[in-house]
Amino acid sequence: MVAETLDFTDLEPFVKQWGLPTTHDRLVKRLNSSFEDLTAFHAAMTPRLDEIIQFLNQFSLDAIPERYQALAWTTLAMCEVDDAVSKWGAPTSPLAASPLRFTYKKSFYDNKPQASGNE
Amino acid sequence: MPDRPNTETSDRSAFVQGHELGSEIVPVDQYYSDEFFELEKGAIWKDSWLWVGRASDISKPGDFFVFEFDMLHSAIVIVRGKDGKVRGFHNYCRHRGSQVVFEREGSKKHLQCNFHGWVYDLEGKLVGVPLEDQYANLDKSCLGLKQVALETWGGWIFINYNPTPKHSVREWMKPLPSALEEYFANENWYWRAGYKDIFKCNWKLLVDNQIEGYHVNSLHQATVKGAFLPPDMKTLAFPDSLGVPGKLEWCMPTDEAGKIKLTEVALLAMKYGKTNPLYTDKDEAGTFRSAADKYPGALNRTDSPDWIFDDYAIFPNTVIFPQKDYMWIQRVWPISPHETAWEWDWWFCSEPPENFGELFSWEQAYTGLRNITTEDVDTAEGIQRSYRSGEVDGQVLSALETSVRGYQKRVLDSVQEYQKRQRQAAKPKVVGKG
Repeated sequence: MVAETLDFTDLEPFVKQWGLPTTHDRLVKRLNSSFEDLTAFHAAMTPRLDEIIQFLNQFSLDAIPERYQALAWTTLAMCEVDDAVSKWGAPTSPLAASPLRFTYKKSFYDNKPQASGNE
Repeated sequence: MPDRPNTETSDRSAFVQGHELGSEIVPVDQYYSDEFFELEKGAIWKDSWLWVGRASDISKPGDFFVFEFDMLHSAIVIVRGKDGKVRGFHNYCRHRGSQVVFEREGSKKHLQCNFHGWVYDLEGKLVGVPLEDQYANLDKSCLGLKQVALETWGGWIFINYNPTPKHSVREWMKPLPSALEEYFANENWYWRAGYKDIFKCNWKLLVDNQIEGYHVNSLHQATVKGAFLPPDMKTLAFPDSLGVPGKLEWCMPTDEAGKIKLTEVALLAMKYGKTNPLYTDKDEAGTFRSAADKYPGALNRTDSPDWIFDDYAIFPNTVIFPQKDYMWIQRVWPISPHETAWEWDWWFCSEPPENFGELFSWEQAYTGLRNITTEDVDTAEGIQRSYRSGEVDGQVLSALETSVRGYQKRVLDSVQEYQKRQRQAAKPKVVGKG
């Protein structure tokens, strides 16, 4: 049985920070966070994660109640911070290019520009 | 019908492994030489099938998209005609060369140049010329839009800048299994997301990196170390194939020691959805259930229980990673010997996320793969700098990089064959006596 309501008072401070609507917003938030902040967020969310996903699963995606929307985005932010906390020990990978350099495509056919103007 | 030689005699499905393609050092000037880059234009880019789109994305007459390739200063309008056939036209009016389509994609009743208003139908025929009586002898039937060769395979659209391609796409795609073609053709594939970027490296480096798995536990030590075991993954080359020079079959380690420890986030992503590549998609009875299961033989050639996804180099510029219910496609487009436009796209044939758990699974796979990809591309720019120094003697390839050797061989063979044809064409003709 899935509960009708979910108490996430304990997570409110994190939801205020991480309840960001897009993957890009959450990426930028990760890049601008200290490792200590990421660790605290990850540690607080991890034990609640399964319960939150189960709870949110009872709604269809376009009908998640307003009061849980920011919590849903915060839960998705766990995907954004997981590598940083679990693998890198830092907000960014020491061995990679910045993901900010990638441009999001609007469709498969969105392949412009094809020149940076410098070599 | 184009005059095509009988190509059925060679076994384009035969693969080699290990050092069967040789073990010599591979020269690297093909990655930075201006001369080689120019030769590639004729040898490769104007004589290859290029992966440009999906037929179901332009399902109704008049639906179109534009494929642009700046290196060749080319724009091709790919449009479905009233007869239901998909055609590709150079995007310029036969009057004075202005564009007939300005949008990237959409739907049109006809194609019209905005300069003086010449009108073409969806089959490319010139049907309207304003003030036509001002011309002396205008034969509209000779002034249709210029067409490029276009064929489909598995529902994907390919174009070829050679007006009379020597081989069909079907021939090009051997040895891809016919079941894979059916998996592509019969399922409702749709694009969900993609990235693009410009990299300061040769286009071929971005293919090389994606078709061998030897690098995973080193380059990807901060992301997926232990998710794969390179010696267990089959690395193949197809020396007789026209369009599929190499393949890698990604597998999980069979040995528990050193195996990746999945995080709680990854485990939940696998519990609630099936976007994570490590997800095995087994139900309680232990049987697989995915769209791909309807097409036995499409994936996982050896039926390995540890198989995760396939990885094919599609000559010249595409790498596909077909897997259960989705596929990644990487395509690269050269700008100069040292600069390349790169695209990475996710295609799915399963339904979009319907609940939060599935969305969580998608987000975990999407961000995770992005992190891995940033490791790959960072390396390519460094390699290009090394090669341009002129100090690198060559590449020393292992048996785990046979796919890379097969791909490079295909590149070098194309250019050498092209040079041979050019020399033959330049030879003065011997005039017979008498």
